Amino acid sequence: MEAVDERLIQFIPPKHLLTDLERAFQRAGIPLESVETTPDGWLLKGHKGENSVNVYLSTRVQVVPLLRVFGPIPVSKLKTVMQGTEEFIRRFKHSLDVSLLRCLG
Amino acid sequence: MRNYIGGNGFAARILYDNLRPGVDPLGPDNLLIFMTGPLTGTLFPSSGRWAVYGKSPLSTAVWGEAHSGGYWGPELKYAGFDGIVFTGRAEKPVYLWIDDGKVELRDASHIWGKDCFETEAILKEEIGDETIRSVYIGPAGEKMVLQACIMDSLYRAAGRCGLGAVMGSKKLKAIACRGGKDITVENPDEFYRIAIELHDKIRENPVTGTALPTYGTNVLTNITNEAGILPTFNFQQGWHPEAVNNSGETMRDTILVKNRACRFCAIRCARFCYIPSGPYAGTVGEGPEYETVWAFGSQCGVFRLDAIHAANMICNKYGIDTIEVGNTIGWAMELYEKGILTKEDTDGLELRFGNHEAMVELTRRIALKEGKLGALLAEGARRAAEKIGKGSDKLFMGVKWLGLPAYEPRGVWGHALAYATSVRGGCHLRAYMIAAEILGIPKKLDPLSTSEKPQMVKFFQDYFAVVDSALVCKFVSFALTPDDFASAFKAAMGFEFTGDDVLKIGDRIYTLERMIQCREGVRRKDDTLPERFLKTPAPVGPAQGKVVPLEEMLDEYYRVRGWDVQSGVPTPEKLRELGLDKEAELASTLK
Repeated sequence: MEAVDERLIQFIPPKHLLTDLERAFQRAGIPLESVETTPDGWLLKGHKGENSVNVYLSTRVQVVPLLRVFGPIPVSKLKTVMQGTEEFIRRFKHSLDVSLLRCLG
Repeated sequence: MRNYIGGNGFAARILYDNLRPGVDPLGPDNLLIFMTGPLTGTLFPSSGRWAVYGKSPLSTAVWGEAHSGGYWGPELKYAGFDGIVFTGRAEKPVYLWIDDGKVELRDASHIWGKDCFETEAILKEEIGDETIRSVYIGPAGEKMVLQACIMDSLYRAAGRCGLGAVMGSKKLKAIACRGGKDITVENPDEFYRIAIELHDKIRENPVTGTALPTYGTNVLTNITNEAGILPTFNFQQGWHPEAVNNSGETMRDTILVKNRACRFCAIRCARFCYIPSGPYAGTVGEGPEYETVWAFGSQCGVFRLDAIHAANMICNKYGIDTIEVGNTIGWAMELYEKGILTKEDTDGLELRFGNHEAMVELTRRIALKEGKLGALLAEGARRAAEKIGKGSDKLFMGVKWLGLPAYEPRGVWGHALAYATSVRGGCHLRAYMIAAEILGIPKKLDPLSTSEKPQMVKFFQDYFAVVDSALVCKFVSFALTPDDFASAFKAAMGFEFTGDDVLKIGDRIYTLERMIQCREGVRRKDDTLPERFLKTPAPVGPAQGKVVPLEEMLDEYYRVRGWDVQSGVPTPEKLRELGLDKEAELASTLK
């Protein structure tokens, strides 16, 4: 089966998101095979057996109207395409959630 | 240590094992626990923190907890201690003097009655060392005002839950510390490398690296107002055209003198402000923070920073929680405007929204339990409502009798769920859903949707339980992930940790805190919000016409936590999964 996870992430510089994503692959037990630069960002690929995952990360530095006081901030779109077993897809989504988790208090 | 880390985790374990259910929070059997964590006072970013725990005399949440920055936490560790547990009650006022491993209870009769600023100065003079670090209560704590906090280094407060009143009940005025010992970590070279890496992450993040240093926490006022979630007139609405007067931008351009920082913090979010003219001329000191600006600002219909800073400094001087007191005064103003309180009840104060003189004066009266209204409100708003009657309890904006802080929940539904389920009651600091719903961290969630909210609240609660156990500043979690904490823990403590371990430990700590509540009767029925947010649609802003769909989020929240959906009690199976076998036995008897 195939599943797509899309999320918008604000404030975090892409180099730190790339580190997080490498950890997400590692956490899910999927070897990261390549990190390619694309015209608008990066493509990370990995697979193991019947399971595979492609992660597209694109970042623009822009002013977000509600958050204009911060000035231009990194705004990233993350699209993850997962193919494989249901268990693998659940595991990789969880791995993304944990690897990217930040908050504030 | 691997299971509970420090701070919140240790306190939860100690309270569960040693606090007898049903004890009077202001009686000698309550425990008062001061804690640091394994990262406090180390090279880890923003590590200058400490926290205090006990049964709350203010809330019905049982679990009482308050955190502070400042300078004292690291000093306690340098003096050779990770934490202190107080039981019983002194016969006469005392203070604890900890001098590099040596501990002495000293007579405090000569300090009892002194305000916080005087206490700080007297202790330094008496000990003869300007470098000592102290925490203390002011007159509010001594008089057991239920909003009383515990102060550190003049301006930093462990504010919430009324634990200053517990300290007062034990006749403990202060804890002064001096230490010269080293803090050792298991792998110093690795810890140093990680600390540098994490400092870089914090510096490169636009919030921790730029916005907080530039505007302080009050960077939020214009944002929350525009988002329609700045509580105004006791949470009747979430927006006001004059809110800009109270903003961080206005503060920077008018009353800000300079930035300040807690110990070992490069973020430097604290403000030091001075009021040069007008009715509050000469007011000077640290703050006000965003929550304080809201509490004495839009909550009370006051849109001028000079009055807000004056009320803030009264709180620092006498030792009371700005959030709770501002929330209470805004509530009293609504009661007055609705005719539930009269001028006779208010000792002559014209307690209308926007009356800044009345707001500042009432702050002082509550702190000193002065006058009829001051004494009544010093019991906390919800307790006072029991005496006032006339439906005043329905107008109190709190959860489990703890006043809500500075976010209007009808406009941020995940944050509403966080309020309802926070273990210490009306609190924004156990799951700061504003991060996801407004700021877009760790991912942007629609604030007016229930989708993904229960799971995200759980993630935040578990993560914060660990950050609050490591006892470093929560602000670092904006830039750092659980994996970053896992690396630091491993280098500091020598145990293997992963990011998943961090969250599981957080789950254990949070669930144990919940069990401390549950064994004293807290259930799902208590995990709720004021009727206003559930039945009265928001009148303005993006949430106009909306109420909080709490019940559907609660069902899912209990499911993802592994707690019983009907009762809200953690299931025995979940407790055993977390290694809490003793608690599982108890849970099986709770309905």
